[in-house]
Amino acid sequence: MRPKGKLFALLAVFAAIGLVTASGAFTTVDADRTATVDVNGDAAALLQMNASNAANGAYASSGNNQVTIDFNNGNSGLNPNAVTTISLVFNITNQGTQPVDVTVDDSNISDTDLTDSEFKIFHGTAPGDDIETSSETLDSGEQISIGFKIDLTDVTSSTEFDINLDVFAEA
Amino acid sequence: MAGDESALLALTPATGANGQYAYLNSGQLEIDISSNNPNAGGSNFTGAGVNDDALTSINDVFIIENQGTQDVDVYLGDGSGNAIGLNGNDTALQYYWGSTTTNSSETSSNSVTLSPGQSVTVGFQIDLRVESVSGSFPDFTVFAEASN
Repeated sequence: MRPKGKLFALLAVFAAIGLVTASGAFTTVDADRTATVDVNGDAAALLQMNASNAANGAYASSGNNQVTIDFNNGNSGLNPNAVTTISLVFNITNQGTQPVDVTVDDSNISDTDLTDSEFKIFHGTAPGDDIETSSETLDSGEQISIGFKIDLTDVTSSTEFDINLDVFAEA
Repeated sequence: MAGDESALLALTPATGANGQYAYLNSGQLEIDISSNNPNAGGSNFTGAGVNDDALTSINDVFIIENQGTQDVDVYLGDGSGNAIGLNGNDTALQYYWGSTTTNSSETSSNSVTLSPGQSVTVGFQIDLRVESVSGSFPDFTVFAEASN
């Protein structure tokens, strides 16, 4: 009589080989997956930008999804023939996952009455803490406040300047 | 059948911080940049979405790993394998390999070959300076084909 044990052993080997073949090879996989991306205004997005809670936050507003700064703001604007420093105007908060290096740039300034060096952007309350060329690192959840130092000593007449601010945050 | 984390082509959230933007929903990988993402809040991301009127690039969001036995060519695309776009604009929505935004992962011409056990991460970039999101956000499809 043939011993039953050997037959069982042979079957087991075939079964094992069969499993390896079935589990290991594939020719194509097409996997359709969902992406959901919500879009938010500056006040709620991954890089949050909103008016500061300090008094100078009154110069900033969050209309039309974008933070906007207006130093005219119902008044008659900045003094000509003067240097004006306004700190704590708007806040930038990192609401993303990683620390990011933040800069704020006014690269589009081309007006001869207000040059790049006459329009300084800084963080905190010290105008020397430049954030145009020197980045500031924000950990996840961290916030900084942005201010401006505007030199209008060579401006004598009423003039309006439109300046785009580019906020750049990079991990 | 297997969930994305244990299938032959494994799709899982990346292990770095930006893996928070992806999660497994009933076993299937999903990208979700919104406050509905179960990872959102607390010490994780708290932004309720990407900034409007801005260019956002997010590196290393999810991982594709070849858990099979053969080399496979992997790429992303829409359901037909074409470039993924936003409102028909291909460059406004870009999936890329790893952390180099110019290293597109879309269409078979940008495929990478993964040997068994090898993996690659995927990031994506959305340019809302030129396009806006209206209606549902486009799906993405991961294609893997055994290398010849």
